[in-house]
Amino acid sequence: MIELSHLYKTYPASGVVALEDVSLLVPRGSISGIIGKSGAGKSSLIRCVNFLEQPDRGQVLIDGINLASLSAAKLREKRRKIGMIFQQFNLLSSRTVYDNVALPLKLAGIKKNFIREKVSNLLSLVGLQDKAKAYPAQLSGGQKQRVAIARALANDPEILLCDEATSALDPETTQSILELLKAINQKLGLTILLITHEIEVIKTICAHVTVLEAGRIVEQGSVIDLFTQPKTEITRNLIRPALKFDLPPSIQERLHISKTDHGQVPVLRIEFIGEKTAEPLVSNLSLQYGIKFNILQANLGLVQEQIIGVMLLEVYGDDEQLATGMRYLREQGLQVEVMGYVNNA
Amino acid sequence: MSTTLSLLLPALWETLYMTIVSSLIAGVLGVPLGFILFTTRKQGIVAQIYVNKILGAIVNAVRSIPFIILLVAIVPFTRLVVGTTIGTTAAMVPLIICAIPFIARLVENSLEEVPQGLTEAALTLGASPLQIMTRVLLPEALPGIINGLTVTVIGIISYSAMAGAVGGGGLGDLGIRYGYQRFDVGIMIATVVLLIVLVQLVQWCGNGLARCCNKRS
Repeated sequence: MIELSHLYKTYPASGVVALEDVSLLVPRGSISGIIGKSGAGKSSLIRCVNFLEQPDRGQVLIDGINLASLSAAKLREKRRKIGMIFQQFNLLSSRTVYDNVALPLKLAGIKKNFIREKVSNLLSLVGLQDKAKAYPAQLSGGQKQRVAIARALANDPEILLCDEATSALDPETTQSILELLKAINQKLGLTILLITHEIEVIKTICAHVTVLEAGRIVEQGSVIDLFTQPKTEITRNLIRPALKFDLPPSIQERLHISKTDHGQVPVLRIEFIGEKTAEPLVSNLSLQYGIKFNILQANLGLVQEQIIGVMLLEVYGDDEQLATGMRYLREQGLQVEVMGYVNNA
Repeated sequence: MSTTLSLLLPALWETLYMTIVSSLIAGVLGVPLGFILFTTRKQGIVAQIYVNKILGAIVNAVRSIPFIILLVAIVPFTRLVVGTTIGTTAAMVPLIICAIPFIARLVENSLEEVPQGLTEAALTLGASPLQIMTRVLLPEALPGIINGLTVTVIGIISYSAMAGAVGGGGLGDLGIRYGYQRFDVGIMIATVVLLIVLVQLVQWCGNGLARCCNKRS
């Protein structure tokens, strides 16, 4: 388990405050994510977990052990149990795939016979048995990251830290790496903490998420909650691309934030999760409350194996009909929001 | 012809002897010094700012002394080390002193080329500073270090010509004494040709070695 409590970090040279009172709990065996824009302090935060950077204040506890209390040698020993992979892979260009994966074992002074067996197991785990003799320069980005994962797992760590591990990869390769991480998490019971600026990564494999902005935590909780009940504008901006509910430009141009003309009708944004998607709630709106509607956009997506849907409706009806209709939808557990008004075409 | 050969061969041998031994000793001392200069920096893995500043100042000081002056200025030191101040062996002391800081700076530059991320990755794997130096920085910077050593060896060949000033012998000395002072054009040409061949050979070996251990592309 990773326990970060009240971390503060300022870079004296630039005066930049990287972390301000950041606390985080990563339960054993879970996949947790930290998301934020560049400069939000994500990198500083994940580097504190293995003391690549030391916080100015606050504690880093790994399975109850305070890293600050360890001697240099003990810290090295502890780091062997905290694997890390990077955006730029950081493989030794002068060494073959085999030697890169064997490096941590050699550093730990492990016997040659054991190393050979271990490396071959690791390479088959990441699907690169046939690349043992290749040099990193001969591999694709995705393959390099697989080598880096194998290397990070060599000392049987309990924790794997991923520092923007998929940010240099194309979407397809990103998915395959994420699947590998998920498989490792389930197979080895590894605790994974990742940082990313890509909401897709969070959506695909994380159960818990922390949103970081300017060194502070703005939101923390389960990924489902983040997607369905974002509490801050920052989070809404982050999740928007993943739900693809941006208004089409043609409507956006016509949209007014407040009602300026009698002929304008409201645009509703309705969001539903899980089994609610199967119920004909929207058609009930029309049948029971006499509200007519025009679907502008509808989108379904999977977050943590749950369906999340977002629908944009242009609705026609008098004020009372609309008010009762919206109340009905909210009573059914849907998130309803008036996005603005458009001129009645 | 035989007299020419009897002049050239010992001179060639003296040049080779001075170059090889000086290069080896300067390499053994200069490469680690380069590592120390790099790793004791403020952001280095064994940051020691004062050690770094002092060593850097010494390196710069030695590098700014012209070789011909260094050759005579350190005569007492040379006597202390090899027991004499004249001859081939005596000439090697200033050659080594001159080459060490040169190598150190070139090694330091090569180490700078190694991406910072590799050191970080090694730290996460539980590597000690010494392990990072020997197992990460050294192999990754090796092509650059070999290129630096090649430049140094060629520099030593060229500087060894001045060894004549302390009776060190060698091809350069032969060229000066016979070719220049006695107007023996044949000897002059022969020494120059031999030196060119020698330098070409060193460069060729260095390039080959550097290419051999460069797996970056």
